[in-house]
Amino acid sequence: MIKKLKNLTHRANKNVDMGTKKRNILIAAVLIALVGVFALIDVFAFKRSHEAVRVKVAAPSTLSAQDASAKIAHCHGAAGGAEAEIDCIFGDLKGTLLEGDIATGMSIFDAAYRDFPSFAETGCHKQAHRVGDTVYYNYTIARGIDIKGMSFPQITTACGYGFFHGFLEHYTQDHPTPAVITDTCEYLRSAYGKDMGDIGQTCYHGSGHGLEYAQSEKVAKADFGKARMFVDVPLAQCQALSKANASEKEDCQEGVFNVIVNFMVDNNFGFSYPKDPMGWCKEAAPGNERPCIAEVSQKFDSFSGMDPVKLREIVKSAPNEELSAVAFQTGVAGIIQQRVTKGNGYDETLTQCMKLDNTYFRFCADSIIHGLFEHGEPQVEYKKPLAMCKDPRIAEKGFEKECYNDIISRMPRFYSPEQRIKICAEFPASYQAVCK
Amino acid sequence: MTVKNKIIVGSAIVVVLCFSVASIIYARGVLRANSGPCHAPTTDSIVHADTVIVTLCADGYHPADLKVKRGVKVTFRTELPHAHWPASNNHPSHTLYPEFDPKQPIPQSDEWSFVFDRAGKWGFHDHIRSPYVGTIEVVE
Repeated sequence: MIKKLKNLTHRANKNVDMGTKKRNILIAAVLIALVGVFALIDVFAFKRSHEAVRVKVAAPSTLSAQDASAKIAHCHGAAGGAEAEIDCIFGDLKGTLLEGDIATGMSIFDAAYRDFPSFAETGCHKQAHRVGDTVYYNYTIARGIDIKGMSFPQITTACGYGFFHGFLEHYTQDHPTPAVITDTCEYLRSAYGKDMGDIGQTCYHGSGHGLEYAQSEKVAKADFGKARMFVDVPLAQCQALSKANASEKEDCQEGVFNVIVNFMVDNNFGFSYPKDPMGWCKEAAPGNERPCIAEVSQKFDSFSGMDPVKLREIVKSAPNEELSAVAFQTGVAGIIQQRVTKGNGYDETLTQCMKLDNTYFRFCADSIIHGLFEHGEPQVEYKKPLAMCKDPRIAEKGFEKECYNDIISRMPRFYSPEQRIKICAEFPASYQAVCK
Repeated sequence: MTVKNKIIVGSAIVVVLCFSVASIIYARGVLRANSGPCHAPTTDSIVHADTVIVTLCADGYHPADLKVKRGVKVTFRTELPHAHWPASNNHPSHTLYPEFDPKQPIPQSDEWSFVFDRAGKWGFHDHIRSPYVGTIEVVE
């Protein structure tokens, strides 16, 4: 009996154990199911919110020159003149960037330079800025694609790296700290420096633009027009760039003043172009006038009536000879910007330069070459300077060797090592070895 | 059920509840991010309201193109983490409709309103970040 009772109890316990066990299994199954459901919700929500970041940037591709020209051919003669033509071009360019990638967009840029004289004459550097702006706002801001997720073709060096200036000034405007600038510029230098020799310097300069834009947002209306309120902070931030060398820090500061000069020209933020730009620089950046003068002298081309001889007279008001030379060279490059698409781009200016003394002739000729590179046709910027070095007037002034060396020194800025080897074959034989 | 099992089961329930609540909060946050003024639908029709709001978002103005009756007040706000400055084209002179210009940056937390009392199609932009553009068509 006791044994039977024991058996019964044992069986009852076993049943109870089985019931508890089943209940535990059921509870565990429900918990696991709940975890699974909420995990799915998380994955779905995460995927939706980070969809943009996962967009892969397409591998670089380009339109053929012919296809690119065909795409914007309808912009010729747009009602409203040159401005309307350029707006039309940018409409197509933006569409191409949104559908494709940066390389394809730059094919349109290249075609616009070739097919629309007004595109270059109104300042191809400014147009290249616009491409950079478009990429920043439509790739980085709208789609979350970071600079490190993009691929930049060689042609983005066109028009004095205007693309990078445009991209980086807005990138920095939204992230205005030396740490972010350093991280960005050193990344670009390591990723692209071999083929784009001045990418580091360009990045620091474009970032200077951005620092100034960021600062301008914070200045109260009562302080509009007061230079120190606008420049002190960004100039100090330029000095704080930990991996920039002295020249790059100055490039950054030039970027700051470049924006101020644009404010002056546009009568923005209470600024207007000063009657005494050299004196203005002395007040805005005491002891550090060089980056300021390098930028205010952008406008000297128009004050001089596009004449280097008159320009020479204007720059005599600079604090010293060195700064006179800086202002002069910037002014001449500005003249070339407006003449680059007319014939060989240098003829008239070189004729004027011939009237200067030897020292300023050299500055003048050097600046013509600089201007031809900075505003020249994308990826063939060297052609006009090379033609100029063969000009008899260059030999007459004993500037031939310096002329070719000038071109050689500028080539790494725009061309990869492979491109340079091909270009060097177009130099006179005696310069080919040095060229390579 | 033994005490030990109860503790285990109870702890598991608490963990799952916490996880669930966190997921719901997160998902709601995402959903909220995908709604609001930066996701408002656009329309070609005239907006019939005394006040209309235009919001500057990461991908541009919302709505970017607007049609309103003359006399309507349009209020400009921003969802971006910095100041804004809506103003008439052309950049940077704002000469097409000079009054349509606050003349200074508007802090991120503030808004700026303007009553459009001139009929016409008025392109505008953010003066501080000029690639952000839009159009307001004012009809009689």
